[in-house]
Amino acid sequence: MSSTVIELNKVTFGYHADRPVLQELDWVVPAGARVGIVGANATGKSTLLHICMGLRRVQSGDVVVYGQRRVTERDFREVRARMGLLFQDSDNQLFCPTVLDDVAFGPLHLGATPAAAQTAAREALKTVGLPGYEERITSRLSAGEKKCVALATNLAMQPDTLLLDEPTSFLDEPSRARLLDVLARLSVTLVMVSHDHEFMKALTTTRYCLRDGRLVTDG
Amino acid sequence: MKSVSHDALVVLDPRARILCAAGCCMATALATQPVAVIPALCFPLIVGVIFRFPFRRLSWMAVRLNGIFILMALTTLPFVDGPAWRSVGPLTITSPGAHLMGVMILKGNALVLSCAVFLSTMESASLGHALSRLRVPTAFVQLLMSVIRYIDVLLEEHARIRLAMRARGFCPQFNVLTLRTHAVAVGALFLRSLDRAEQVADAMKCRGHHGTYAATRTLHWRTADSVWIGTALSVIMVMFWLGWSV
Ligand SMILES: Nc1ncnc2c1ncn2[C@@H]1O[C@H](COP(=O)(O)OP(=O)(O)OP(=O)(O)O)[C@@H](O)[C@H]1O
Ligand SMILES: [Mg+2]
Repeated sequence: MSSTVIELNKVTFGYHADRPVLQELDWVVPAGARVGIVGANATGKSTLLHICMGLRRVQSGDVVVYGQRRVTERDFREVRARMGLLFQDSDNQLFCPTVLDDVAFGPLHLGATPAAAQTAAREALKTVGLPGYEERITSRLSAGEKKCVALATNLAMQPDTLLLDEPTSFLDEPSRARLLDVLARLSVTLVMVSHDHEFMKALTTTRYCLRDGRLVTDG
Repeated sequence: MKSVSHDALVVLDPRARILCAAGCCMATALATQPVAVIPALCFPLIVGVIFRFPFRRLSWMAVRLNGIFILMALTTLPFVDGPAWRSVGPLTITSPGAHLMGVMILKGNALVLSCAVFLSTMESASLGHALSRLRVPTAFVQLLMSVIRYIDVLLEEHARIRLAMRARGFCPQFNVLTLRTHAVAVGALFLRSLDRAEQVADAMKCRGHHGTYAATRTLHWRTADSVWIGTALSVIMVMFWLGWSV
C-alpha cells in the first residue's frame, strides 16, 4: 500500500464555468490518517468527496488516489472497490427493494458469491445495530435507519478507506454512540465531513476547513 | 421482490418465466384466429391460480385496458370493408370488423396476462440477471433495467412532491391555480427524477457496478422449470393447430 491515499494537486472544479466550487485545491491524506473537514454550507465539502470517488471530473489539476493518477471511469473502478463513500442523503445511496439486497449489492458486484455476499451483508447489518432488518423495504425506513443501512452497504464491502458525509445526521444518541464505537475500532483511513464538532473531535486527528474553494488547516 | 409481493412463482427459475412469457406472447402475436388465442389466455390464468397470483390487484387495470381496447375497436371498425354483420344505430359492423375486434381484444388480454403472471412479480435484478444469462445483448438489458429503475424513481418522487404540496395546504380544485400547480409539479417531478436517477447511478458505481447485473439469488434450473416450459410449448402448439384448423 502506498503511503498516501488521496493526493489532490491544484484541483479546480465547478458545476458552472463561471462559478467554481473548488479552486486550485491541494490536499494530501496519508494512509491511516483520520481527517475531519468542516465548512459552511455550500462550500463544496460533498463535492470534494465525490471528486475523490471519481463521481465528478475535475476541470484542471490532478487527482491521485492510491498512488496513481486517476482520470477515466476505468481508473476509478479500482478506487471504488477499496474506498467507501457514505452519501449525505441516504435516499441517494439506497436503491434496492430490500435492505439485504441493498447491502449485498456491493460485495456481489465485487465478485463474491451470492451466499458470501449475504453473509457479509448480515454481518454489516449487525455491526451497525440493525440485525433482523434484512427483509425490510429500504424506501420505508426512517431517516436514521436509512443512514445506518447506508453505512452497512459500505462496511459490507470491507473498504480500507471511508469517506463519510455527515455521518451523524438523523442519528439519535444511542445510534451516534454506536457509530462512534464502530468507527473508532475500524482500522481504515477515515475522512469525515461533519457539523458535529464533538463527534469530529473524538474521531479525527487532523482537521481542515473548506473556505473559498481551498482547504485550510483548522486547529 | 420476495418479501414485498409474496411472489409464489419465485420457485421457478427466472429464465423459465421469461421463456414462458416470451413464448406465449410470440404465439399470441402470430395467431390470426380468435379461437387460437384462447389457450394463451387460459395458460397464464391456470398458472396464476396454481401459484396464487394476486389477480385482484390486476382486475382494475384489466377493466381499464379492455375499455381502451373496445374504444379503439369501435372507432376503427366502421372503416373496415366487408359484408355487414350487425348494425348498431348508425354504425354497421362488418364481419371482418367483428373478427378483428375479437382478435384484438383477446390478443391484448392474453399479452397482458402472460406478462403480468410470469414477469410482473419478478424482482428487477433477477430479470436483468436472467436476461443476460439468456444471452440477450447487454445494451438491451441495461436499457431495460434503467427504464425499470426510472419508473420507481418517478413514482417515489411523485409521492414526495404530492406530500410536500399537501403539507403546504394544496388541495386540488377546478381552477387555474390548480392547473398551474400541477404543471409546476410535473416539471419538478421530471427534473428531480433526473437528478435522483443520476445520483443513484453514482451510488451504484460506488458499489462496484459497471454494467452487468448480479442477482442476490443464484439461478437454479430445476425439473419443475422444464415441466413448465414443456407445458408452455404444448400450449403454443395447440394455438398453432387451432389457427390452422379453423
Ligand atoms: N449537481 C449539481 N449541479 C449544480 N450545482 C451543484 C450540484 N451539486 C452541488 N452544487 C452546487 O455546488 C456547491 C457546493 O455544493 P456541496 O453539496 O458540495 O456543498 P456542501 O459543502 O456539501 O454543503 P452542505 O454543508 O450544505 O452539505 C453549492 O453551491 C451547490 O449549489
Ligand atoms: Mg454536503
